[in-house]
Amino acid sequence: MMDDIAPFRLWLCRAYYLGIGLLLVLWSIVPFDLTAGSWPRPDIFYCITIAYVVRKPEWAPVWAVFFVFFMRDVLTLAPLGLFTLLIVLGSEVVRGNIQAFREYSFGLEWLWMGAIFTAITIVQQILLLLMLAQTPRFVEQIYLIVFTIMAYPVIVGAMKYGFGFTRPRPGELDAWGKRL
Amino acid sequence: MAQQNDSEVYFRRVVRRVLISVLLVFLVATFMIWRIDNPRAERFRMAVIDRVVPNLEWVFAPVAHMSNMISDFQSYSRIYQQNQELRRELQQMKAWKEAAIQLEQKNAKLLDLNNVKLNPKLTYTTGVVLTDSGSPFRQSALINIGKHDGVVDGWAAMDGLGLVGRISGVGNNSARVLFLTDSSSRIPVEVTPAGQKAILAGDNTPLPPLEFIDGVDQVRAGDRVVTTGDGGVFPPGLLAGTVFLSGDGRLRVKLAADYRRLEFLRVIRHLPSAPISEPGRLVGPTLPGQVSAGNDG
Repeated sequence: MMDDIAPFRLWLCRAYYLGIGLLLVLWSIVPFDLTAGSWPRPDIFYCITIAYVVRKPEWAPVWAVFFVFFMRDVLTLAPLGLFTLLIVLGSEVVRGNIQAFREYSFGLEWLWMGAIFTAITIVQQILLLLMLAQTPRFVEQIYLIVFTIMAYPVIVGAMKYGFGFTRPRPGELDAWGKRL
Repeated sequence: MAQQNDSEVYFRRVVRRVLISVLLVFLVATFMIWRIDNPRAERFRMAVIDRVVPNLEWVFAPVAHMSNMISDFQSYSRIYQQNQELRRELQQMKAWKEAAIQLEQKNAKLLDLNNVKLNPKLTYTTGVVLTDSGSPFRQSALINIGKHDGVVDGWAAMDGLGLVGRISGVGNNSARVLFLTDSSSRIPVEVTPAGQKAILAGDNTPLPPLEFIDGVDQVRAGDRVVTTGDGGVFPPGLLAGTVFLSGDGRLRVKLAADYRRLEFLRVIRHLPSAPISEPGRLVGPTLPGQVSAGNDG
């Protein structure tokens, strides 16, 4: 019975993940206000990705993470592939330590998510400096980090209470009927 | 059964590892190519955007329209105040209109005396703004005209009044306009009436600073800033804005274009005059058989 229903539901959930990601990319390029010097918006899709990977890793497979972030790099004039590379690495670090993340309290999970995002931003800045490429301003990057970290509990709360998106309890089965 | 399951899990893990390594190698390679052969990578990016974005116009138009309506609605709350302001401005405008009409008549007379013909080369095409750059670190917009409409890299884009930026990246059906406020934008300008040349250098703030001014002491706040046409990039005499003395003592430019309400952009058709690359040559259009090093057209 598991085999009949699970694959369809699994792919539907993956489609949700991809859909949310692409919508957020499009949202970020809608021309609301073209004046310079606006505040950086929090990286909402990074938060969603980490929340997915901690809670339902099989719904956010690595190729989906890659696809959405790569499209974002292309469409938003970012250095091609750099942020995607770091985010794939970051999400794989979380995925590799998934058991530990499941046992963490939410505060610890939040701390780790912030630490990974800070590391990604700093490494990005250093790599761009080393390659003598144009870098975003440091102050704006700090605002970006702070806003993103502040956005995380809000997003997780919305996913939990809006869509019933909780961490798997011990002994729960995954899509392949395997113990998590 | 358990053994089969185990080997399946093992197989899955190996496939995953290979997939991730391939992805990572691909991403590192893309980044290196982006850095080493930047023009080619940017052309690839423009090709992807050109394929994706014009098909999504139906998404952007209503959303942007809604946000405009909301901000319009917010402005109702201070409608009385605005009314007063408008009346005052109208009063001033009447005086200006009178002055303008007199000047126009005078100008017409002088032009007639001089037998001047204005340059008919400066025509324009108009495009609609599709998207912005999507990150606060880059200042640019995508418009819905491109190669098919004859748009060429480097042309100037204006709103009704002032310079907005220049075309940087052309696809078949779309083109990217790099704003004056982007931190990689450098435009040769002239401050009138002082006649001092300078570089208008974007720095991601709404008021880009003037750099390398000839005589700083001759430039005053309120002076007009226009393009010079140096380097053949822009046609000369396009209005960029007015000089503004900022709090930190730097001379900045208050741009004439209204970046908050950019919907349509005029792209100025501009063919630079033939460059003089060697002495003693006839200046004129390049003939078919003759290719010179300095001519990029």
